[in-house]
Amino acid sequence: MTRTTCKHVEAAVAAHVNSELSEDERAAIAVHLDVCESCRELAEVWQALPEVTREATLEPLTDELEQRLLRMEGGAPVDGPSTRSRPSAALLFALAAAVVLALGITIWLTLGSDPSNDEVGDPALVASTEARAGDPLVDDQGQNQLQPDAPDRRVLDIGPGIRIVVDDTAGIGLDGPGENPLAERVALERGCALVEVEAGDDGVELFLETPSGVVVAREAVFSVEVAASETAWIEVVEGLVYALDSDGEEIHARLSAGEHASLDDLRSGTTPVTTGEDGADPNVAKLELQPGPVELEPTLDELLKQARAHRKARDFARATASYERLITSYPGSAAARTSLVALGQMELGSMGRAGSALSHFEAYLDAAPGGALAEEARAGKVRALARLSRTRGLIRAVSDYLRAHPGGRATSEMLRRRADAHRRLGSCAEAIRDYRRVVDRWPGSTEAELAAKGLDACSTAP
Amino acid sequence: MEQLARWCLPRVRRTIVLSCGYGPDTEDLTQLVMTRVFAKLDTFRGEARFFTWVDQVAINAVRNHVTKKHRVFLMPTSDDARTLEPVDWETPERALEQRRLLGHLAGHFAAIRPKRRLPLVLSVLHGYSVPEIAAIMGISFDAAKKRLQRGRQDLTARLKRDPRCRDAIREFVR
Repeated sequence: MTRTTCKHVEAAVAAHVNSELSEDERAAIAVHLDVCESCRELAEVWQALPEVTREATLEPLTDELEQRLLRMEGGAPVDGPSTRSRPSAALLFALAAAVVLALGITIWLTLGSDPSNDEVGDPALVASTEARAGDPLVDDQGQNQLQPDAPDRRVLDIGPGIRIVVDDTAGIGLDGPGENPLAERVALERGCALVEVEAGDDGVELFLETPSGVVVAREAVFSVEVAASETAWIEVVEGLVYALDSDGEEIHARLSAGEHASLDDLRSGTTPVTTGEDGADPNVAKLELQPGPVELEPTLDELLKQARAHRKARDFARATASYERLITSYPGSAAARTSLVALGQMELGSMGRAGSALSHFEAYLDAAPGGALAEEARAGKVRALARLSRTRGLIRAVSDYLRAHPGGRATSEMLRRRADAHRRLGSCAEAIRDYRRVVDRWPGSTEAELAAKGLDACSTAP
Repeated sequence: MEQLARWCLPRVRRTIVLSCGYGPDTEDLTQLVMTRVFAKLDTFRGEARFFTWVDQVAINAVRNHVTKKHRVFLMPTSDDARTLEPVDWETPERALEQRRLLGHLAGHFAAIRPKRRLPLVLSVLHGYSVPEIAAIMGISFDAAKKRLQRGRQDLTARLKRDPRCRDAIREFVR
């Protein structure tokens, strides 16, 4: 921005407060805001708008409508009073089940023995798919409230106050109390499980064994997902959950409500603690320990927020770190792919790191050559190559863009850049052909002006 | 499910109110979006943030509603600007004033063409970047960028003509 007037600032003030402008533009606007009160006021308004729209009180809904909207089930409003006492658990289960479905895991369901259940035909099986009215996980019709129409959902009554909800993709085995009458043991080989453990007078604990470690809970609601890589992820809704080694001997860390981590991460980040010297039950004694804080892997949501906040504060180094962590921690996710393009554009536009930007655009194109942002990635790749003066690569990249996006929005720029590249290589005939296409098809545009200058340069070239 | 609905409902309502304003169809549209969210819950693949997915469902429903049927619930009039009196956010009427401000602001949004309005809502309300808006709306990066830029210019022009709204917004965050 060479000349900063109020009109210029008004056009760019929103982008300015969102840190979307280049360093030069930002500096020019900052100078103007220092001296222009009305523009400064407008910038303050744009700065405050997100908070107003997110925080200002909404008009209240009628009680009837609110109740109806809050009792949506399976896509339709449900009449009648709700009886759910642990609704937050449902969210995690729904999300976890969705993740499992996305992973496409083919899993078995194995049910181990539970001596306390004599009513099941096979004494080794304890699965109770018949929900009971009054249970937190069922409604007053005795249906599993998580997915009333889903026949694949099972509510397993493991013992007093312990319920596990799984779908038929989960591989779960019930080991029973074993030697310790106060410990119920369950093995989750694969898939997702939503677990509720209620503290009772008898103090029974749940030991949930996964391929990568053991999870212990006395009073908690949490979900466990064992991925195809056998990494176990835990997310706690209520209460506390403890993580042990796969042999159950050492505590690594505990997770509180709202925390989320994989057992592998907890293992690598915590010093093992040995306990049980007082002769008490070693497993119970370990639960009383409170190991030091553990750095947990931020969630995808947290990483996105961090990246945005850093970018907004023009702390590009940290924004880059957040984006890169998101890309490596959640590979294959749509957010990770979007982050590749966002990161590439930030590096190209604000950080002057064309090489790194190029690699991110190429990574997106490798992952999703036909994705929603493929055109932006291909155009970004061409711009990065231009910045790096990689002329031949640029010509190939432009051809790739034109082939993949006929009629694309950056076609004129791509043609002009290819013509520039040909001119630099001394191929004036090809350059003139592309320049003329730009001049003829987009007369009066900036690209046409640049192309006209290129034509002049070709005509004067030796 | 009820907790899930409790988490989604305010977010969905804000998206709808800012996209369409308050009006007779607001509640119907809210119910439509909530119904879609729950009906499509099984299709959530876990590749995006859950709320991004909810926002996508909401914005698609709003887009169908406002662009195909050309519906805008609330159009601000010149009288609307005068209804915003200087407010003291610390008074007991704070909630009422906030509702009035949000409704008034929704009126400004509603006056912007839907193609520009929806990217603007996603940016201002939910803080999405241009690539994210492009992905949510299923449009190209350039289209998202252009529409957002024009929507911002439209809103800036409207706010410039509404000093009381500007004061109320600035006062809100003090």
